[in-house]
Amino acid sequence: MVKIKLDHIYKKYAGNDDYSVTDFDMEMKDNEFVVFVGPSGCGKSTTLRMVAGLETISKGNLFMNGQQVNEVQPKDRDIAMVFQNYALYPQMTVADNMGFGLKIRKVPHTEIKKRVDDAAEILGLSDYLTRKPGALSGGQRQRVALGRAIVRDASLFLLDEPLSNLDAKLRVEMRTQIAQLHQRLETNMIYVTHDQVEAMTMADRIVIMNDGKVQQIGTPDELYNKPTNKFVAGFMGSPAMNFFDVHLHDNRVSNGKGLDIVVPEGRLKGLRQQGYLDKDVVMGVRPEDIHTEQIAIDTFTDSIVNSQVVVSEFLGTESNLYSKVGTTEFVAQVNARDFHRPGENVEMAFEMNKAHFFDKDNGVTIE
Amino acid sequence: MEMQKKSPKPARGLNGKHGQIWQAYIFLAPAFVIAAVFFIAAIVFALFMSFNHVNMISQQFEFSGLKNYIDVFQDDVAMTALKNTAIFSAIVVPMQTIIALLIAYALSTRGIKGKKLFRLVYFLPTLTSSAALTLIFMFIFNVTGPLNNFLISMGLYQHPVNFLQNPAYSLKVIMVMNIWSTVPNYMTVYLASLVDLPESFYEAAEIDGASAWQKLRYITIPYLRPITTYVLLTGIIGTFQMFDQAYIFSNGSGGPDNSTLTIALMVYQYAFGSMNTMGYACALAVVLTIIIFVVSRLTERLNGSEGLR
Repeated sequence: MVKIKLDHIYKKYAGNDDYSVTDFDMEMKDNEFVVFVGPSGCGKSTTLRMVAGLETISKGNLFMNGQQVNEVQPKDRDIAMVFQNYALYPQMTVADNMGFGLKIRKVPHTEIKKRVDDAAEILGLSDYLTRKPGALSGGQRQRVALGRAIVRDASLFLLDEPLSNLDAKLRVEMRTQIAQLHQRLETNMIYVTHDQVEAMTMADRIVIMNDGKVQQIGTPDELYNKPTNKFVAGFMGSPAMNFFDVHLHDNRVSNGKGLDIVVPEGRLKGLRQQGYLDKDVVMGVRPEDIHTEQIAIDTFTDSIVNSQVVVSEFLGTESNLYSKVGTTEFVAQVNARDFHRPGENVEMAFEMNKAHFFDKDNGVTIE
Repeated sequence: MEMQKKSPKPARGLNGKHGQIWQAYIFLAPAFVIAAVFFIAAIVFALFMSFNHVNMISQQFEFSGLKNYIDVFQDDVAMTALKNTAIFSAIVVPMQTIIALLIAYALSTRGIKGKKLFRLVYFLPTLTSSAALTLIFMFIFNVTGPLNNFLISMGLYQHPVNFLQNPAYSLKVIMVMNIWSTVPNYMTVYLASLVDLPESFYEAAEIDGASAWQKLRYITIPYLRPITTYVLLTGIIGTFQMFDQAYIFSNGSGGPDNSTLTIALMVYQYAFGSMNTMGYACALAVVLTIIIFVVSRLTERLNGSEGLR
C-alpha cells in the first residue's frame, strides 16, 4: 500500500524544444487501479517510466507515501514493472526469471522457491517452471512477466502495455486475469495502454492523455458519458463517436450537407445560455444513440434522418451501419435484428438528449 | 464436361526445377575448384609429405613412416615452440575476449556521449597493417623508446629494460601487441550483437536492484554467449597460427633464445629455410592442426550454447 502523488510533473528530453509530458497532476488512492490511456506518443509510457525512475523528472515532484522520490533509484522505490516485450532473460528458466529480483536482493533460497511456487500457482505456471522463455507461448511468457512482478511483493505495480503483443482472444483472457490479480494482491497498479477497451474494462480510474497533456481523469463511466472535450469523447468508445460540424439556429442544428434536426429544449438551454445560438458548434453523437427500431422512430420524431446504408457490419449481437444522409457520413450501432444491407434507405432517429456539443475552436465540451 | 486442365510441360534446361539446381552448381563451381586446388589438394599433399623425407631441391620423396611425427615430440625446439604458442594463446585469447566484451559493454551503456568517436578510435588499430603495427610496438618498447623513457622518468626503473632482446619480456610484448590489435575487431562484433539486446532487460534488472556488474554477469554475458563462442574460436585459431608479428619482431629467427618462436614460425623455418626439411614442417603443421581442432572443440564445449549457472 502506498500513496502516490504526481505533483505537476513535466518531462522534456534533451534536444527537444517541447515538453513530452506537461503538467501531469494526480493523486492515487490506496489499492487503486489506474490506467493511462492515449494514442502512441502521448506521453503515457514516459510518465510511467518517470514513476518507475527509469526517466528523470524535468520539473515537478513525485511523492510516494509523502516522501519526495524524484532522485530515488528505481530499486529503492518498492515497485515492480511488467514490460511490453516482457523482458524475460532467454537463458534463464521460468523459475530463475521469476526469482531473479529476489536473488539480486539476496533473499534466502528457500524463501525464493516458496514465493516463486506461490506465484506460479496463482498464474497456472507450475508445470512450466523448468522451461526457458523460448519454449513458452506468448500468453505464458506474459504470465511469467507478471509472476516476476508478483514475487517481488512490491507496493506499486507498473504495467507498460503488457497485453499488446498478444492476440485478441488471449488479450481478453489476460485482461480478466490481471483484474483478478489486482483484487487478490490489493496493491496499487498503474497500467499503460493505447487500447480504450482495456482501459474501460480494467480501470478504477482512467487518465486519458494526448500530446503530453492530461485530457481528463475519471472513472470509465465519467469519461464515457461526460467527456470534457472532443478528444476524450472521440477516443473512448468503439466505433468512435460521430462528430458533425453544425450551425445552431433557433432550435435546430444543420450542416448544410443533409443533416438538419431539432435539439430538445433541455440541451438547447445550456447552449443558448453560453451564447452558442447562431454559431458553429461540433455535435457528437455516439453510434449507439442512433436508432433504427420503430419505437425510437416513433419517440424521437423531431430528429429523424432519412439515411442510406453504405457499409454494414454484422457483429452477432449488434450491427454497425455505416451510413450517410446527403453527403454527411456517420455510423449507427443498432441491434443485430435491425440489420440492413448496403444501399437500403433507412429512417434513423438521433437520440438528441444524449448528444454532446463541443466548442468549434478549442473542442471543450459545452455543458 | 469440364475440360481437363493440361498440366504445363516441365521446363527444360536452365528454367526448370533441375535447371535451377544446375544454376546453383554453376555458381558454386569456381569457389569449389579454388577450394579443391588450394585447400583440399594442399592438405592432402601436406599429409602425404608429412610421412616422407622430402628433398625440395631434388624433388625426391622418401617414405619415412611416422618418423617426422616422432621427431616432433622429441625435438626440444618444437616443444619450446609449442609451449610458447600455448602460453601465447592461453593468455591472449581470454584477455582479448574479456577486454573486447568490457569495452563493448561500456560503449553500449545508455547515455554515454561520443559513442561514435569512441568506436572509431577503438577500431583504428584493426585498419593498420600487422607489419606497421609491429614496427610501432618495436619502437615503443625499444631500449631508447618512449615506454622506457616514461618508466625511468617515473622513477620505476634506474636503467632501461631491453624488452625486445630479453627472453623474459619479448613474448609478452608480442602478446600486448596482439591483444591491442585484435580487441577492436572483437569489440565491434560484440557491439553489433549488443545493439539487439533490448534495453528493457537492463531496466527490469535495474528495478530488481542489479548493479552494473550483476547486469553484465546475468544479462550481457549470457546474452552474448554465441558471440563469445565465435570470438574464442577465432581467437584460438588466430593465436595458434600467429606468425607475422613474431616473424617481424624476431626477424624470422624466433629469438631471442627461441622465446618468440611459435609453431607457425617454426613450420615456416623448416619448410622454406635452409634446412630443406619440408616433410618435418608438414608433420609440425599437421600436429598444429590437430591441437587447434582439439582445443577449439574443448572451448566450444566448455562455453556451451546455454547460459552459465
